[in-house]
Amino acid sequence: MARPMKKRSIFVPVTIIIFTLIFIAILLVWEYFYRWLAAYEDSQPSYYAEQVVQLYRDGKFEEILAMQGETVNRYNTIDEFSEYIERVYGDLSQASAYKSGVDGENVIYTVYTGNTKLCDITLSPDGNVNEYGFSGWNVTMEKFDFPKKYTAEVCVPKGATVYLNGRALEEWNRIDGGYAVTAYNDLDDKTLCPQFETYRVANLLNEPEISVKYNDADMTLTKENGKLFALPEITEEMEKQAKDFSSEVAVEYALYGIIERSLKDIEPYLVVESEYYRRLKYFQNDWYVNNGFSHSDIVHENLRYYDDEHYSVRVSFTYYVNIGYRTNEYDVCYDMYFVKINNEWKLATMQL
Amino acid sequence: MATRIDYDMVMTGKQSVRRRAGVIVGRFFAIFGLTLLFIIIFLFGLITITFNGPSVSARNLLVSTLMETSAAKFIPRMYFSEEEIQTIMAGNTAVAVNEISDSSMVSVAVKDNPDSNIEPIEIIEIKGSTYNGKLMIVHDPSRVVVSTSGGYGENAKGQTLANLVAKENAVAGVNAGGFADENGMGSGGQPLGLVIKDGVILAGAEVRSCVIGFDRNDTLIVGTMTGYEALERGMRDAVSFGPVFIVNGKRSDIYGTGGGLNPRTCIGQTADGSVLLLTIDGRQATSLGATYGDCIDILQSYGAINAANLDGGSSTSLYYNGEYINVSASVYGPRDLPTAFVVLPEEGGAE
Repeated sequence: MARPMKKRSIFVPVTIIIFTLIFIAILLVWEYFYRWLAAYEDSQPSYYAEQVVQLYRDGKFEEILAMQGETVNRYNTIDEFSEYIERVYGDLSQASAYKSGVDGENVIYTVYTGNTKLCDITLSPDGNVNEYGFSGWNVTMEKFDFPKKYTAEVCVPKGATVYLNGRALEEWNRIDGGYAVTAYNDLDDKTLCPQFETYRVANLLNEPEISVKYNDADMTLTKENGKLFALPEITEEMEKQAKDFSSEVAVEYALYGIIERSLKDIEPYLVVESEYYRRLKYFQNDWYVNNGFSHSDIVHENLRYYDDEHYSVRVSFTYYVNIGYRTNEYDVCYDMYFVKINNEWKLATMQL
Repeated sequence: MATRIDYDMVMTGKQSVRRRAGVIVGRFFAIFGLTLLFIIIFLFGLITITFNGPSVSARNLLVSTLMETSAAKFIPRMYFSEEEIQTIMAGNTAVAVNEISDSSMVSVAVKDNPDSNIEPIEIIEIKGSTYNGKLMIVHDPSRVVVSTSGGYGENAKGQTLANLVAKENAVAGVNAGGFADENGMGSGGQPLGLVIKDGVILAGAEVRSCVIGFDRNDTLIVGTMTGYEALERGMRDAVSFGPVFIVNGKRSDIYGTGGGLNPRTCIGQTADGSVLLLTIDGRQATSLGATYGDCIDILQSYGAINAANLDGGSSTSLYYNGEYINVSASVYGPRDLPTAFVVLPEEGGAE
């Protein structure tokens, strides 16, 4: 008789299979949990704040300024900015942030280094919910509250290029209002007046180096009443031309004044379409006499070219008029303003 | 020679049944043991991933949460050195404003008034992403006093909140100051820090601690001081705990997670004198708990200008009209406490 076969228990293999499946499930849950934690971390306001703090710790000011929409340091290099921040705030490697308030759904963090506040960060929900149900945050950073010391403002002839720390300023740096040489207002055609533009850059960290070029030549910077002006450098040729011509006009004008010249005589030196010319006309005479005019050496002062087509100069001298029985002596001092029209220099106006 | 099969063949039916029962019991314990082992492995894995995984916030939150408990501190200590734990705790807490409440900033405007439309005591449900809780608003701060279990000492025993409320014939109350609670086994009879009742110091006179209590003008005073200094400030009832959350309208700085997720009890006062008693349920599937930062946000949103944290965890309890209205984290039922802030009945009538 055959021996009955002992029925093998399925307990062990079934248990092994079930617990193997459970173990696999545990691994999957762990893996999901890991990814869930990563998503959780990425959704934490503190994570976003920490990202910003890390920028400070790492000295990534270019990124910080970009977040702040800051443009004031366009003309300072990022190295200068870093140096400046270090000077103002000290070591930022220990910067930290803490939650300093809530405003509705927004969370506000304050970034500090030591006891010094660097800025506030406002986190607002971005509304984008990820697959794990977490939403992200939009970060708005308050602008740096640092003392910005320097403002550069320079008035230049139209068409000149201003360089701030070696970088050319652009149209948006121009502000309204510029230097006006009011004497030229006598000209009917205002486009003939010297045209100036003012460039202004505020919030600079250091006193900037300013240079101005006009027609490829360097301009001279002068400060008057706290304002900086750029004027063309005066060459010997320009000086000679200005002195010779102004002397000639000044003498002719003096002669007109003592009725030794008619208006017609001096008209070639004048801009006919001008208030100044019309005023001189009141003095017009059709006759003139010879009084035996002579003058001393002419002195030129304050020669100032505003651009290629305008200059002013103070001309002074003493002239003598022989009226027969005696010689009269007159000291004159003319502030003369010249303009170049159709390549010829003319007297735009004059102030006694 | 008899083989084993031979032996089986000669087993009696009774022996066979006994053997089969033995096999079943063995298999049960094998399954039970394996299941327990897998549960432990699973939980161990979750904790390990949390502590060493990609989320620093979750790590800090869990460490802070566990370190604020009396019985589960050993878990983070399995993973981190004491120094690392202290660093995490320091980076995830509320740093109090270094001031003491200015009583002139509170003017008690609304005393309980039968003609008033305002309920003398309001109960508000509080909900957040990780917590549920209740906020009790007591509009008349003169009704809020400290109730003590009395007879403090190493061998003394505290009393449940229900008894502390009953002792003062009060209508409501929350747990208040901390007590010696080694491994979560404290008897509630040994308060930590100061206890002042009716202007008399019952414990902790010389200890400089974070004091939370009311002065004789019924202003909630929070700040660091000794018991004697508290009496000099005219405090009538006070306990010690902390941290301070809001002082004179300025909120404490919250670092990192601002503490762990735990059951919380907090007290605050608005500018019109109303007292805010906040309890947050915790350590439950329906409510994990709240951080210090969460509590500050809640209290500030209800207008608190002075506020502080009271003893939390398993001690957190809120009692009103003869019953506990919060869900306690204590699995052993209401804990014995040394102190409670209780709300006396309205003058001239029952609540």
